[in-house]
Amino acid sequence: MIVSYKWLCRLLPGLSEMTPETLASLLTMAGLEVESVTSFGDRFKGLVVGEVVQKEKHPDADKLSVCQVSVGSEQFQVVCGAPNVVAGGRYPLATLGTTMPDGLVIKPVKLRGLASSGMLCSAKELGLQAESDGLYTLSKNAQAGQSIAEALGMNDVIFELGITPNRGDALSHWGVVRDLAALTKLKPNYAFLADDFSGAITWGEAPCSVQVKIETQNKCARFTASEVRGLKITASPAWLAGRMQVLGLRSINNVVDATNYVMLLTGHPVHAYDARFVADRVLKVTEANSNLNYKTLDDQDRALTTGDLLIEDAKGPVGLAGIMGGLNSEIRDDTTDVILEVAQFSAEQVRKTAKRLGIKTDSSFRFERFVNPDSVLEAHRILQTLIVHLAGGEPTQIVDQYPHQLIKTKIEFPLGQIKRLLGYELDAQTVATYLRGLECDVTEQGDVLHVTVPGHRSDLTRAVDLVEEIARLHGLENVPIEAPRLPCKRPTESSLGRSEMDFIQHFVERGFVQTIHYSFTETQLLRQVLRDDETQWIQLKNPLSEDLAVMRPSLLPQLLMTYKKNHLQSEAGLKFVELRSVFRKIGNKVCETPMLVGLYSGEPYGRNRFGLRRSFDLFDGKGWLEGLFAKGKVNTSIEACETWPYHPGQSVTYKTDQGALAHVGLIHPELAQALKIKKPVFVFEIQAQLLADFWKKDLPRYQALSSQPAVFRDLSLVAPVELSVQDLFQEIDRLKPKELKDIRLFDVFSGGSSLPEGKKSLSFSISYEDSERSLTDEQVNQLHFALVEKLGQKLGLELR
Amino acid sequence: MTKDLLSSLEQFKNTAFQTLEQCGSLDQLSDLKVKFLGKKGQLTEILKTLGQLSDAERKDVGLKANQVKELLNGAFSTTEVKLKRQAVDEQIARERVDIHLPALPDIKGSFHPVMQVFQDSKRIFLKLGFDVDEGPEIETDFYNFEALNIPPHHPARDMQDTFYFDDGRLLRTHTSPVQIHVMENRKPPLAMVAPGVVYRCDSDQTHTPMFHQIEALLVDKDVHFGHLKHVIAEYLQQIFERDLQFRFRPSFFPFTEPSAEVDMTCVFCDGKGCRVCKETGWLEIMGCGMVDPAVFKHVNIDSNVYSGFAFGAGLERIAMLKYRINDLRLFFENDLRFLTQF
Repeated sequence: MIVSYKWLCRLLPGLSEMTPETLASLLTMAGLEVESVTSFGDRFKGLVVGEVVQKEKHPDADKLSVCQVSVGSEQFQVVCGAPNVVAGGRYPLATLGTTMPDGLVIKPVKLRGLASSGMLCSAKELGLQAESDGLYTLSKNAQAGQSIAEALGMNDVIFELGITPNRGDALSHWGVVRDLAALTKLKPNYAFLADDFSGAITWGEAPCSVQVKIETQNKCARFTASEVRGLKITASPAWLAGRMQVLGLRSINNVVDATNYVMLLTGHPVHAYDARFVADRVLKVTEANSNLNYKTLDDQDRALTTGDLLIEDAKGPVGLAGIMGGLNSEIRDDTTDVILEVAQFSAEQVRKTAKRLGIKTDSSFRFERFVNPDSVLEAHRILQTLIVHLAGGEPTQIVDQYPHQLIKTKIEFPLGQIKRLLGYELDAQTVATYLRGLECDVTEQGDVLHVTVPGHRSDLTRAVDLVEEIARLHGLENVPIEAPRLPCKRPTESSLGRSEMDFIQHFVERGFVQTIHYSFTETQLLRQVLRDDETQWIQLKNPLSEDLAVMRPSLLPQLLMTYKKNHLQSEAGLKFVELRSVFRKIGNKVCETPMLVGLYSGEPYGRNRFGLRRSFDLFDGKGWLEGLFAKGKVNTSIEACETWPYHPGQSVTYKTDQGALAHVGLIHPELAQALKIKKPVFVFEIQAQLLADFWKKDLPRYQALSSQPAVFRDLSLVAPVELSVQDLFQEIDRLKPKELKDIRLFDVFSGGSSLPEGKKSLSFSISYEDSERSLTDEQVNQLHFALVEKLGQKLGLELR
Repeated sequence: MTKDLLSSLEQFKNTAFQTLEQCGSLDQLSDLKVKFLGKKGQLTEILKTLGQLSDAERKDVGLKANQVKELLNGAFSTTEVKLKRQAVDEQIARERVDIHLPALPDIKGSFHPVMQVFQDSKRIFLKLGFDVDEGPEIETDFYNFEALNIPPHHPARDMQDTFYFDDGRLLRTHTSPVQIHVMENRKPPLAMVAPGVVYRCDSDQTHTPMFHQIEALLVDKDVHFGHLKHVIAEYLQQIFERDLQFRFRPSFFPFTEPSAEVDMTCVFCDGKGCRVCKETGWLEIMGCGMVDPAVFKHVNIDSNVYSGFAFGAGLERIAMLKYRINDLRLFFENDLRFLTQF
């Protein structure tokens, strides 16, 4: 919401002692956050009223005029292309050196050979309207040389306030003044109505012919109506038009501007109908009882449903209560009789309807946040007085129906609550003074205050709410900083939370770059990458766009896209890792499964001068995964991975006794083709929760170091090609003597002239060690050949 | 006789020194040592004739011979040291490489900057004694809104544009629902934080539809706003690795009362005022407040006995300020040129 510094100063005499900057900081620290401060004096710096004293056609251009423009003390020649420029007219003149609102700096120029010193401006060029044709014509009252801000009634500073949703009462100048009065102890002048008005607020004596009927149970607390007959619609005076402009509204005419002015002053949304189009002068508050279409005054057809609150005349709807009037009864240039409405409607119903229809008006915004029914009549009187002042005419009495009287909230406020929640103590007197500043009635009774809350503060219902008011007024800076007492125990964390850093760090140490992708992606991409049960995918009901419409059931599709986006960035290999949830709906159950997913491709080092050239393959991935599992002491076995989208010949699934833990492998050739990926791309997916559950269940246990040296032997075996190395290692594990400490496979080959068909050669390096004694060569040979013999018998392997 | 011997010793000495001076290798040196001073060397040969001399003469010549021997021994050691040094110098010259050639590339991975802040935040709170909790990202209206004192049709719902699913569930708009899960399952005293991903239906220069928050909650007897100030200062000063000033501005959140926004010293200008802080010297960093009794009511905690504080901070915002990142959207574009900077 925007408030005007000038207006606030009029309403709170004495406030002008405070600079706009000081005022802004005062408001901010009291919870009415000032988001920006704009000075129109600064914005229009260099712009003055220019009077065209002489106008001639440009000798060399049909559409240009050469104007002599007076600014009082001086005269400038300005070449102007606007069709509406006339001698004697007054227009905004941007003098040399002026920076226009759009950033353009005015410099001396020559147009078709004639010097032009300055620019005559349109409303668009002043930043006041989005479009305009021709120059902004100023009234005859504008003084040549006067600043534009002054001439337009815009010599003001505005504050943009971020009013929190609980503070419906602060959505007006009155509201802000109430808080400022409590903060500064200045006395407000609520009777101040307008810059050019010094009379009293009055109301009509003539009987009102409007019939008001409230036909809803509890959606309209109060409804008032009156008439002003025989008025004249004109443009608003400069002060009013200017105020509308500074406050971000378009000036329309004297009556419409008056309704907006009253809303900005009091916070009461008000409405004026052209009386000619209110059939039988009946205004009825009623609920729509069926679905119907209705055209609001923005010329939009609105589909209404049962329960929507309407204002109807004898024939049908004339407005959407609290949201927007109807096109049919809008004020026109020839309107002479108006019916005024000031009312209070249900916050919940206004919000429901506005939200459903996607309308947000100044009126609905305020009703949603609560409007005080107690001050409806006062706002109505102000509106009537102002309209008569601006447009003339005869006012009538005000018809007032108030079926649901506001019951003022009474709160018992134990002072101990302040110390309890804010940590400081205040005496009853001080607290009572603060609350009375907010227009509360306060009675002191020992350590308890009995507080009656004023009607406009619907947000104050409990003692704790009053503590917040004290915090606002007395200041949170007075709260003493104190270390809390924390529960004396070891902090807890989930198994995954505890180990996720270990997981990621493992991969980052190995050159992986951690990514974060949005949890939602596009259906099309998922279809391209996955062969999946689409009924498990979870669609968003209101996605931002088609490419962010479905919760990802897998991280691979997005990771593959990121590979495609980045793979030209790096000559060396690419490695990405991400640990986040994937989402599926299985039956009625929504499953969020954390996955540790990665992708790698390319050459570890790219081209280099060290003779290190190779491409990543499956075994890099195996090494990283097995290294991770070993770090966490997680036992796994492997089998070929048959899962899409893994290459059936170059992929591995790791299993635990609780099912599959991970896959790693090359992507399926069909997928590579579909995504136009030309280089081998490897991916892995690890069930992060399962891994975390197994992760380092036991602490490492120290084993004494052997002082005896290890002895090494190599072993080369010839085996059938079908024999799996995993089986061979398991067999060795079963048969090995206790002195065998370590075994490593260092070479595998098949084919060639030295091996028979169907055989492969496997070479191992084995170390033997006995912690008790130093092994002699002979002892080692015995152990070694005994093992070879057993393997030969068991698996039919030959020594090579 | 003596004279002859003495002169041949002198001659021997001169020859030996001349030869030594020309010696260029350690191998040659050891040959020379045998030749001059060995058991069958030239000096021994000379001394063999000593027996023919009288005692007095023998004493003179013996003395001279020993002097020559010592001198030679010394010269041999010096030469050995010199030659050894020469050999090492030659080896070094031979093995010299161009140190300016680029190294074998280090394999460098990187943590996502938001995840660094995420993990650092967890560590800080664990050290302070807070539990770390998690909650589902797909939530119900009850946990995300109602239990947090945001009834249906309340304008406070406008503060958080929400993504919905057809079955009425939604993507959590803040990490605050974790508070509710925790308070339903554990009884005070409670100290917990919940870092996590949250979603809002909003996307522009300064909003992404997904981002990260950390939520903190402390519930105990006699917890007041001063305790909140302390923990926030502790957290932010540690995460930004510097001393900071703070300003607490009254504000509104449905689940806290009183509520406040926290401003901290602008890290770009040290509070002097700059473009980033709009010349105020302050940066808005998080929202906080005392747990609203209505929230306690939903989880059956007696607000007459217990009080508590809660706060929530955006991790992207912290990462942006900490690492001077000027565009929020970079966090989710997964561009290597960005990610490898951290």
